[in-house]
Amino acid sequence: MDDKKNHIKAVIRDNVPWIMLLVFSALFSILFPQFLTFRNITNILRNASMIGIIAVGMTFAMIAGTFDLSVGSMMGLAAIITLKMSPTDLPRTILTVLVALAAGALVGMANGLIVGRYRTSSIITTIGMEYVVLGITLVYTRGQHITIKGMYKPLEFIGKGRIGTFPFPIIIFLAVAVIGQLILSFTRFGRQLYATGGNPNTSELSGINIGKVRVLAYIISGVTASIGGIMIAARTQNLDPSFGFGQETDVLTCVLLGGVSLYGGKGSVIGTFAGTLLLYVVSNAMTLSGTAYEMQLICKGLIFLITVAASVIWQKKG
Amino acid sequence: MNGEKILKFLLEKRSIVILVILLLCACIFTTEFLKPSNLSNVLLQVATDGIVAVGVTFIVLTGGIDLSVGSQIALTSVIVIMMQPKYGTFAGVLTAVAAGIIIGTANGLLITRVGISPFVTTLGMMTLIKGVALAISNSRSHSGIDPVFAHLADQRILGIPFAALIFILFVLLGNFFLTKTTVGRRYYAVGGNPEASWLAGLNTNGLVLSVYVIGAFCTTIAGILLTSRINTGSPIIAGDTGTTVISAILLGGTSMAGGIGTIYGTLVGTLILGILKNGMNLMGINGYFQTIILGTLLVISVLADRTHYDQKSRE
Amino acid sequence: MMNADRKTIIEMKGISKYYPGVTALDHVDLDIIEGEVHALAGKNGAGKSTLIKILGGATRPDTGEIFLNGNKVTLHSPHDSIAAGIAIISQELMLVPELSVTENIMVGRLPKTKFGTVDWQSARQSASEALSQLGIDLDLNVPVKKLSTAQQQAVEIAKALSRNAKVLVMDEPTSSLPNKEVDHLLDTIRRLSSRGISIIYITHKLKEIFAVSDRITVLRDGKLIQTSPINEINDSKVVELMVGKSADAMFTKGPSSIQNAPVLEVKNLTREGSFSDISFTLKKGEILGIAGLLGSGRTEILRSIFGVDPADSGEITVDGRKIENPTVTGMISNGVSLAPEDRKLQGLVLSMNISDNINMASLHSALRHLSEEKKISKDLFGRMGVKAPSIKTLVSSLSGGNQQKIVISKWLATGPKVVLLDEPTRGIDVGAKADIYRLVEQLAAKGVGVIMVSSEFPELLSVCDRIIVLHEGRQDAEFLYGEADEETLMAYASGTDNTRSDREVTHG
Repeated sequence: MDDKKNHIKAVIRDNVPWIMLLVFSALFSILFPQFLTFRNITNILRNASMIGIIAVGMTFAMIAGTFDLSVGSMMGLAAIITLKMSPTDLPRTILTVLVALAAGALVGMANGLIVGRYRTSSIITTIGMEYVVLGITLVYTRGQHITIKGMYKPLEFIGKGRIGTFPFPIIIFLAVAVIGQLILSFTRFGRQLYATGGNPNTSELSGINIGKVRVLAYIISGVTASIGGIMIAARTQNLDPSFGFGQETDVLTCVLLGGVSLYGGKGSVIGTFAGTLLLYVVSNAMTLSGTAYEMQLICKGLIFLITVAASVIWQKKG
Repeated sequence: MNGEKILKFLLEKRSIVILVILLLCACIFTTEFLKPSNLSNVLLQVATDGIVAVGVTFIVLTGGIDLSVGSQIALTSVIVIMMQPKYGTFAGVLTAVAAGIIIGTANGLLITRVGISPFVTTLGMMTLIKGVALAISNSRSHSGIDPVFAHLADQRILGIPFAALIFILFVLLGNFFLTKTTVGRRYYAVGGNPEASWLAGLNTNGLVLSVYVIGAFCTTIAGILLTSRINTGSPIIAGDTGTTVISAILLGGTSMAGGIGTIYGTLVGTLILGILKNGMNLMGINGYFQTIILGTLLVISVLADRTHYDQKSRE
Repeated sequence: MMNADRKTIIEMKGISKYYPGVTALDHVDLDIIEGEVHALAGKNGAGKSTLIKILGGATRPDTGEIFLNGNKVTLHSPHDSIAAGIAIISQELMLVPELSVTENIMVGRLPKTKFGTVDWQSARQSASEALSQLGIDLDLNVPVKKLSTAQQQAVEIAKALSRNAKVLVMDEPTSSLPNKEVDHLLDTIRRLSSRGISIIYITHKLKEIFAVSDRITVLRDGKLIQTSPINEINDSKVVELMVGKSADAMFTKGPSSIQNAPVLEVKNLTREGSFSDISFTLKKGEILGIAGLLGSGRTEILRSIFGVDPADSGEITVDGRKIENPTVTGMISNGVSLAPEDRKLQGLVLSMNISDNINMASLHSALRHLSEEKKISKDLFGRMGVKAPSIKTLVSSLSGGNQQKIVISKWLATGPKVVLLDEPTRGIDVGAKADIYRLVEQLAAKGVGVIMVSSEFPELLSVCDRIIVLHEGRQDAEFLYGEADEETLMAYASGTDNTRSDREVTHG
């Protein structure tokens, strides 16, 4: 009897983000009749895709026990690269995407080498990198606003396309999330990630190259930031050079709402997925209810703090 | 052997060495730098970030961090300017100080009572405070209407801007507090070994709470001076303050691990950043490169702090 | 030394403390008389440190009462204990490394001038007074990180004295002190007690207990076993009380399974400041013990062989292959494994479950084989007799003995040729210890070479085929099974091979 109770408790504890998502969704469907429509739901999902994909990457860095706060600028740089190169045929489109992804991988590698090899504070290091990347974007654009008219259609499809009535970005989001979870669950690297974040000392003594694991985690984080950036560029086709700067807070909120531990070693992409949807369901509901942008920002800050406080208190109680 | 010693000495005093090299470069490569008007300009520009840095040094000394200082300055500017028409500048300043103390207390309580890490707490507060500043100001910038207040910060006294004098005052007071008073020494103890301090009967929670209030107070004062200088209340100003301040503190030799550092170090760090920025402006280096350099400096300073940080984290 | 009319200053009554799955203290009583030296003896895990934490206000008891000078008190925090005149000097010294001697002695109580600033002159004076009470002269302005361990300990004691502590609790104060400093410390303790300060002295060294204490209290498995005046008890009685039913007594060594082929050869291994000129050959199926005290280089040798902190010079040969530049990954692929001293910090990932911990060192391909992992962990889980609901249980919820079984399982999963065990039974209860011994024997029977480092000499004597004794980083002696007894090992390990009085009892 007691075992069963404990089992149920454990199941609930492991799925808090999903349960919260269900509860909030149910509540909003009652409050706002237009909430539970196909149009609104796909809208939420499409809005969540870009940040959600980046959150998948950040989940890797966080499980390894490190923060990546450079993803905001990185997303911006990838988006600007996509717009500035403005390809007009397929080979150049592929080249553009590859360049943007490579930039993300490079920044991730730099973060990983500094944090992984030299064991610096990952917070400060990646904040520094956030500025370096922003500066590179500013120099690259000379501070100019970038607008593209008549974007090459296949590229535009990445951000705006639909398959039937279903927005294409959602499919990319789902694909990245599924691949991410598969890597975590079914590869050696996934296990090494949890081990490194859970206890770096033990991991080293068990023959795990924790520096390499962290570099890889950061590269994944940088690459997903690039994917998010490319998608946003394809969707808006019109961006400020400082776009993305500071948006890592939103990404971090998704990840923490999804139950990933601040101290590493715990979390999953499935959780982050639910956390991302939760954030976007709540902001969708605020928009539906006509809440002003400023109030939404205040609510975001409150949600962030309450989530973290709850998880800290939860962990203290064991 | 001797060369090694000299190198070690230079590394230990690296912040002073960098400052001296920068000063020399600025004198050699620009003709403007040494002009009194430029020097007092540099002082005016570093004053606000410098005052914040003095306050945040207390926080970093106890092993914490405050990322919400930029938003706090924005909120201060909005409060002071928005209250001017109805209640006057003085009421605005008082309200801003009260708001700062409330924010500092909230940060401190979330960190000590709830147990959320300083980084996450102040990151959340950053968004929250910015939202409040946007809400109060309707997301717009507002101009000040009090001419006396508008000239307060750059009022020259003996050629030195008022804001810079306040900065110097805060440096002296901060240094006095940390080195000469018993509470100041307790901050070093708490940052150097929290467990030992707790077992020695120190009220570690109270001490940590108090540094966030000190940090927020200094930030508010800096915010008031900045508002006076630009005579504008804007919810989006001071976005880089948090990063600049942490860079200055680390460059000044204070360790992120806590327990090591001085206010004079922070002063040197602040001057390094100020002179670098001024020198680059005088040399006509694009502001966008300055963003890259700010980020790079932060990464370099955190690398230089690594020895302490690593030792601590291994313990 | 003792005086009958002296009053009781501390009385702890019926103190219990429960942690999840463990009863750390079970209705323990302790009373301290003014000016006495009261030895608190017991093996690791007996409850000594928990009792001291409660007295120091660092943790609260679940049941029981504490009386100070006859008045009931509640110690909410270390601050309350300090105010009550209790000072704890823990094994791991609680100093702020960057701060000066003066500041560490006066931490939290720096005197003020009439202007409210720190009165450094009077601070230094108080600090030097406290130090001179100990008969020690130190540069007051030096940061304590630059002092020797003995000097740092003096700073801790001076800190307590300058607070006018009435009761001084010293937890294993001699564990990291060189011999000549030990005598000095014992003198200091006598001096302090003659001035009316009570001292609770925690140690496992019988010689010290009988040299300084007036009374002794023995704890075992969280229970009070006996309190008596020191002159009514002798050392073998104390050992008996502390040990109770001992694990090595429950275990009988089976026939040795040594094969003729060497599996690990170490030649002239030297690491500056840790150990020098270590040479031995481990054969297949052999269980080799390394006996040594704290600081003898025992742990460092294992870490060097495993490639964690490589040696400065010397040769390591595994299974006939000479190893150049040993690294952890390289040694693992050569079939060497290390179960480190600190299970929680170095042996396990507490946030992962049993199966993931077992498999973490043996994931050979980039893609996982889930069925294989399950098979391996289920097999080892069963063979080791781990007591847990399933292989999906988090290791953080297991007992010490079961956790150690998981660490060893992790290495067995790699199919090792050589297993290095550093203090494998530390903090493990008696039953689980015997399990570990049996496991070691089974390993050897399969042809694995085992090196077991331990400070519990009786367990080495009953488990190992051969024992090497270390003293200050050097190989001092070597004995085959049955050739030596505990006293002999201790004599060699402590470098007092001719005086057999320096006995040490087991500590786990």
